[in-house]
Amino acid sequence: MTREEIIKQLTPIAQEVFQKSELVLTDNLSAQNVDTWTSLAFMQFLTAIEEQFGFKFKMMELLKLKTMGDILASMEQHLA
Amino acid sequence: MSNFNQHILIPLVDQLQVVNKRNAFYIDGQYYTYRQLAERISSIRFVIQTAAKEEQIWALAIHDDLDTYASIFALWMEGKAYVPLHPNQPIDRNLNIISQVALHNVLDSVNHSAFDIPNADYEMHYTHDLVYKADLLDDWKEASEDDLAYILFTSGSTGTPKGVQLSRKNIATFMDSFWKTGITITPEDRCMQVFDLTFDVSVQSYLVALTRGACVYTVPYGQVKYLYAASLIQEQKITFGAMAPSMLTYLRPYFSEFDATSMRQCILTAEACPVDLMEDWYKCAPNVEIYDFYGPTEATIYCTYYKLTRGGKNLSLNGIISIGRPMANVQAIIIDEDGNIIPEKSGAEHKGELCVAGDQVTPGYWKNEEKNASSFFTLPFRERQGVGSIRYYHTGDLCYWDESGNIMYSGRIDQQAKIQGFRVELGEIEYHAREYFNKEKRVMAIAFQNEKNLTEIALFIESAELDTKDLVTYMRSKMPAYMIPTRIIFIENFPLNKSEKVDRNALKQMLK
Repeated sequence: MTREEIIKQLTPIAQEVFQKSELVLTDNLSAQNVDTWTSLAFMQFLTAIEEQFGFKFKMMELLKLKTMGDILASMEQHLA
Repeated sequence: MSNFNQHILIPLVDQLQVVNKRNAFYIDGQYYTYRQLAERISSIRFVIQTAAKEEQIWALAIHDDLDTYASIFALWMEGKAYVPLHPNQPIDRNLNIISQVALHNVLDSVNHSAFDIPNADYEMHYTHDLVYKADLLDDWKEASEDDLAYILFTSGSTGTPKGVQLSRKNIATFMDSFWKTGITITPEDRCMQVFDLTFDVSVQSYLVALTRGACVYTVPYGQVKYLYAASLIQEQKITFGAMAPSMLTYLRPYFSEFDATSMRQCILTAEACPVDLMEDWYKCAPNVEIYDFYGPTEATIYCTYYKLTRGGKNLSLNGIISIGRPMANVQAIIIDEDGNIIPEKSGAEHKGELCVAGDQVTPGYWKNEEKNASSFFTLPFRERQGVGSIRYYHTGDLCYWDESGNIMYSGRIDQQAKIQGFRVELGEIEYHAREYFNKEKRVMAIAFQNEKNLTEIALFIESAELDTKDLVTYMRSKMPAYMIPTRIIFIENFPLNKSEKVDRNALKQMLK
């Protein structure tokens, strides 16, 4: 799956979980600049990704997921 | 009697002077020694001493940095109290707090403070560019044990945050109670501090470490807390820390890969603690001793605790661990609806409101006579010298005495919820939503458990469906992020109960 395809499928999930209907997925999005990026929302986001894309994040990967760019890069690897 | 200097300032300064090369903090990947902490405390004390307005209570803009922690100790050495203000919380809310307490001095460690606004009625004091000149670690300004140490503002059901005042005596007494639980901290410990400084478990988290010469590992603001905490535990080999159970709930799907063997002692607090979660946590942390601590801010951080047993039968109610017995300096009673004291060990048939007394109990809410009149009461007691009275705080928590003499938590008697450990008055959410609709619509905020057993808030609005974007934006301008409802549901007509009041239970059922 290409990065563009991932972003296309991931955007509506992110918009719903972070309650921002116009959210555009860019690499620099994080808890620092998205006020709804709470622990609860982040966990819901990860769960939704795992369900929608059919893979599981590893604990060590999770610890490194600080930004949307990190998440997209990790997803690219899982879905390559 | 417990004394603030004896429990806090003397042991801290001992560490500052004796183990000065040892690390005091690990903040955002950087270590800071006790020597560096000593220099920042000294520099900040000079600033406090030269303030134009001599005020006992100062506002402290909180950041995850050394100066913010140094400011707390500098203020205490100057005999002053702090009111923490979180720059990420709505400015309206922070200005309301500044105005309620009539604060004239704001300390901030960043270059450009969110509080540095034109025509403000207070003086800004920046600490970032202070240059160390000389040690100023002794000559503490004389202060009474009844003087305040901090005021924490919590959600208020009337729409305005309410300030809980904690005195130097309250904190000293808490420290004395804490050490009597059997928890030990040595200079070798690596202690985690995950809590926002507006939340009182943060005070326990930094104080017990720094008064024993241990290192405090903090979680930076703007991070997903549970993940950062997990990486600290695993990579920095944390040995002690207090956490909210929800943090472990988030991590639970990954427990099989989580190595917490370094954890020696762990406190679970601020929320109900599920027994099955703890059984799984024991497997990740094979060397840990787990304590469940309970306490409202009004009784200084914690007032009861239960020590769990690995592999043993741990006392629980509906899967939630007992909140145990009162700490050493706390007296606890449970009273029925008529105010009668329920005898200890009465069992589950005799539920009532938990009330606590002793030197950990706050002197009261800041300038809030009505709340002070309703939240505290006195009962007579007899002693050898004659008759006296003891002042109790109504916790609002429904509890009972188990036959073994432990206290079992059974829910709230009012409309308060805990979100990620933060206290939330549902009335405050309803107040702001009603204000948005110019009081023209009825609204109900309901706390509920989601499918992962985490607490969320739903807002019901009696109306045909509307676009909620502006409502959410408005609520965000008035309340911290954790108070914003995660679900908004429109209903044409609210269900009513037999007393013709809105039926909260029926609304709650609709969330299942």
